[in-house]
Amino acid sequence: MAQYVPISKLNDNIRAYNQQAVAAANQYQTNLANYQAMLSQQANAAQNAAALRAASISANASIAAANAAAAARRYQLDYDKSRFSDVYGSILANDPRRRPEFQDMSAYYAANPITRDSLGLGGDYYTPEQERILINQGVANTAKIGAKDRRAIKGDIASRGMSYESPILTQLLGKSMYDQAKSAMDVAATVRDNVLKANRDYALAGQQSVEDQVAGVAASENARQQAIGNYMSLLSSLV
Amino acid sequence: MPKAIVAGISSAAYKNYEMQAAYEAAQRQRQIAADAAEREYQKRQALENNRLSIQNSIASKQNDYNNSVTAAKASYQNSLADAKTQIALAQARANAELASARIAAASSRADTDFAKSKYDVVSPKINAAIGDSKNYMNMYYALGGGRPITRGSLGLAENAVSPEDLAEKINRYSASAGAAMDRFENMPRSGGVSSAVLDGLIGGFSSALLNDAVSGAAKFGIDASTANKDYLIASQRLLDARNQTLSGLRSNTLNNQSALLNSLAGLK
Repeated sequence: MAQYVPISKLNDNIRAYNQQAVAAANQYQTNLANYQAMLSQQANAAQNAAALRAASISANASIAAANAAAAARRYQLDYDKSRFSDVYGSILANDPRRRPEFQDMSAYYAANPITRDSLGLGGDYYTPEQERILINQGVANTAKIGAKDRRAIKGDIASRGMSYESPILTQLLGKSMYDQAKSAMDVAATVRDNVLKANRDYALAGQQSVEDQVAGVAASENARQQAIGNYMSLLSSLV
Repeated sequence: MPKAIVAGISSAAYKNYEMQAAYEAAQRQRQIAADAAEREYQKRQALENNRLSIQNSIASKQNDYNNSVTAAKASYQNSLADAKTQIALAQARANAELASARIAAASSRADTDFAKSKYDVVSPKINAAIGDSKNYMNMYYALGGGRPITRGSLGLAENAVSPEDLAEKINRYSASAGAAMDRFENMPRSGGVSSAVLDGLIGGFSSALLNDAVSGAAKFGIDASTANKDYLIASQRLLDARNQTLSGLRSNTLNNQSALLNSLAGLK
């Protein structure tokens, strides 16, 4: 015989079931929420730990890279220092200022100016004494020629039976004397001209030698200064 | 039932009727009471269900709230952990960057130290050369710079033929002619010959000498003028050469001094 259950009891039961179901659902939701929270926290913790680990690895790598770069730079620097030491030593050994041909000669030339005298080209090409001798020789030659000419005239007149004492003879002798006098005048003047010209040309040629010498000394000084400048530029390029 | 209707029936029947009526009335009363009780029950059921529904709803809300709190706490914890992690990451990155920067700085200092050591070696030499270069102009002055370049400063005569030279030459030429003329004047006259004829002949020679002396003096003047002009041109070339040499040396010296300064400037 089926057990009679009052409807009110059924309702109570149904409500009890409902309440249990609601409680169970709530508990499930709570458990789920707790689980999700726990899972989320664990995942977050794992992610953060991974991020920290990655950051640590990255930091160590970057520091290691910096150390490696610094080591490479030190190696390069050591190499550069070695090269600098060698190159500087070699260049220093060839300092032009240590060589005698690169010494400053200005004091010497200030005390010993370049002149025709200093080059052994001083004075005149002809001295007054030499000029006087040349003139005397020329005049003497004209006298000799005149005397010879006059002897010839007299001999010619005599050979023709004519008297020495005649206007013709006088005229001929006078012409000879005139020629001699004119030659003597011209010789003296010509010698004087030639001596002056020779002395003048000699002075100009000698001074040209002086100018060539001065230009050479100036060029040498410029070369000396340039060599020092180039050497210093070379040193500067090492820094 | 109205009492008038009931009249006329037996008492038993009436009694039965009354009993039936009472019964039915009682039944009706019971039904009414039952209906009322049912309604009351249903009402209470509904109230109870409603109460439970409200209670469940409250419980559900409470549960939702609790779950939300749980989720919020978890989110907060996560955010807190994230924030701490970000701080740690930033700290780690900063530390790494600081360490790398220190390493790079130390390396850079090594570069600077090397550059400084080179500078300390080279710069004194260049500075010494610059000090020496203050004497560079000495050669310019030694070769005649800073003073006017003239024929006199080079030891050259101002003229090829000086006025004194020309006057002496003319005088000597004229004197020589005069001496010859005197010889003609004293020339012995040949005997028996008209002295007028001889005087004429001899006078002709003297006149010729006089003419020679005059024309010679004029020619000497022209020759001297020509020689002087040629000499001025030729000697001027020498003055120009000296000036050009000194000008070039001065310019080069200034350039060479500047070159040394440039070498020093290149060390910066």
